[in-house]
Amino acid sequence: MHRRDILKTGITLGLGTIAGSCASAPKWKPSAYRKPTISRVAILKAASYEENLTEIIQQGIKLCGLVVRDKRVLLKPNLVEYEKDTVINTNPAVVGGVIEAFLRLGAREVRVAEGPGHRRDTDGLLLASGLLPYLEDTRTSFVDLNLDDMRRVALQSSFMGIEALFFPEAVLSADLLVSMPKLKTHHWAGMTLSMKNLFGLVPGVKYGWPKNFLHWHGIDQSIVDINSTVRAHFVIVDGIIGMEGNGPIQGKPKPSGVLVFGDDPVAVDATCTRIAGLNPEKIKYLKIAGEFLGNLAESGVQQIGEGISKVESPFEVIEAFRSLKT
Amino acid sequence: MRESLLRFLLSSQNTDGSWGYVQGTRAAMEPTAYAAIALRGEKAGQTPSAKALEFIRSRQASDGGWPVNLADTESSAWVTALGGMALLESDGKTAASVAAERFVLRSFGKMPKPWILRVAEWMQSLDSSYVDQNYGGWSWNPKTARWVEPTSYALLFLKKLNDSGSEVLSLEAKNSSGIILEAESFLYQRRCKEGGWNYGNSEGLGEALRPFPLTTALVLIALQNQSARPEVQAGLRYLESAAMEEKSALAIAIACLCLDTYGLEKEWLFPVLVTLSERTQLLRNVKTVALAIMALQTREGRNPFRLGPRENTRSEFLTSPGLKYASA
Repeated sequence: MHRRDILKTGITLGLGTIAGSCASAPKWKPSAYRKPTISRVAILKAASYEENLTEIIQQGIKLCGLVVRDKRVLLKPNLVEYEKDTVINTNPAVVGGVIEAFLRLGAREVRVAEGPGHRRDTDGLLLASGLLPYLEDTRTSFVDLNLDDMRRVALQSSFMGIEALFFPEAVLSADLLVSMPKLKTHHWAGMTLSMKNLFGLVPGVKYGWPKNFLHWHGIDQSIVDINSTVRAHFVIVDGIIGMEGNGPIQGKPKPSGVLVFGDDPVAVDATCTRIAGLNPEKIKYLKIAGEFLGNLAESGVQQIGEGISKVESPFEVIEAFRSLKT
Repeated sequence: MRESLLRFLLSSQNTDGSWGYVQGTRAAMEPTAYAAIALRGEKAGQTPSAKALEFIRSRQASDGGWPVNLADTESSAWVTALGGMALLESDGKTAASVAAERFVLRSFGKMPKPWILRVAEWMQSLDSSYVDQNYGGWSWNPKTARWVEPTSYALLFLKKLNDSGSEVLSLEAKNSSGIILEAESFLYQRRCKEGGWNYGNSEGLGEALRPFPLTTALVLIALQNQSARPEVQAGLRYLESAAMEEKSALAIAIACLCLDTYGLEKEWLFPVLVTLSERTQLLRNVKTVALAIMALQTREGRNPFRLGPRENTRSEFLTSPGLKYASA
């Protein structure tokens, strides 16, 4: 064999090894792995927003064993935009109930924060959506995450193909970040729950209204990278009235009568997807997240409160997601 | 009310002359630009405004642009348009505003598309009857889609520059008229069925999406020199009607500035602005307060968004909800 051939073979083998290792290398840093052995998810019934939600929420938090005392809590509801007679947002009564519950459980501070995805007039959004009176009654401050001081943070996984994203200081400095989504279908992602809700953390002042930067890097990929980098320590899902069909804005109200709680966002989102009569294994971002961020399989979830079969309420989906029903 | 807004603005200024969006936060270009413009119209605001303008000048990047804030290093076209407008308002056309103009013009572009679609478009363009509908505009973030709000800021800045009366035009500025025309076409294309604009999508999965008063007002400010166009008249009708239901002090302030640029009645909006500003004090931010002050200054004939002399552009078919509101 000539020297040139040896060199050629060497280069080929070397490149092959690099390519092989790239293909098999996980797309997340070891520090991003946080899949617990078992995840507790509590499903509690709540027939309407007129119920004593604070009591139910307090019970849900306790059932999951969350330690709240002396913690600085940041609540992140879903507040995308407002339209009369629709159910786009986490209901303000649920946000009010959660504020009250955390204060009763000894939180040092509770703040509400959101970076609305479509509108810059957050003042009008809070007033029109009915959230403002709840904030005023409890003297709770609101942080517009689109405008907060921001810091560049290295991503803990690399599905978007970028190294870092900016995140608001309010999020990075909170002891407990609580993701509070609405139980909704999503016309691009299948379902939007606690993980997709973290799109609202990304500052609009940098990434725009809508946060199109994330769409260009792939919605599923962005959901995973954001969640691997910033952790929602607890999840409370407003499933009292969800949204089915062409969500997250133009879908139809779907009463489901539940609040769902847990400290593993993957497990909570998977449970909610099952409540909606859909298969979480077929939702791309949940499938990826189930490899390292939390428990996707039912065997990894300890269901407390109500069983899924007792509250299951099949959601309509758009044609593109028909396969989620099987 | 104006005094209380002014006090808030003056007390929120950072020591370096800048403002953050919220009192106590770090420098951001957008609120600093708006505060600098608003305070120039107030006797007590001259020194703080000068300090803010000095901050803006000192932070201009070598590419002519400004990033959104000090945590970021990448210049952004929409922020550059606002920074440029603040300097233009204060200094007239200078090397700094021309550099900003160059950056804004360089940032203009069409929606990025995969190469295969670009090839298909090129093949279609060989047909003489082909009309290119992929109009260029400006994005929030480089290499992403074009949207209504950043396009409106950039368009207004370019028009203000052309309107500044300077004989000294950069090479880029001489070529800007084509870009301005295309950006206007982009805005018309993104209009919602109801007559106004939202962030830039008129429909989603075949269903019509609603316009918003805030973005409608911004677009109309950018299109103010085209008041005879039916799309503009329809947009004004939508804005006047939607403003009566509006809950945002920010949106009302911009709506007020918008109606003023068209010489339309806007007095009826002031009580709404006062009520909403007081109602949403908990959320008070610098940008909203600066724009509310600018809205109130229109009573004295000052409107930094206005191009050229003011004229009444109300069409005969425009109703007058403002007058009805005021007399109710």
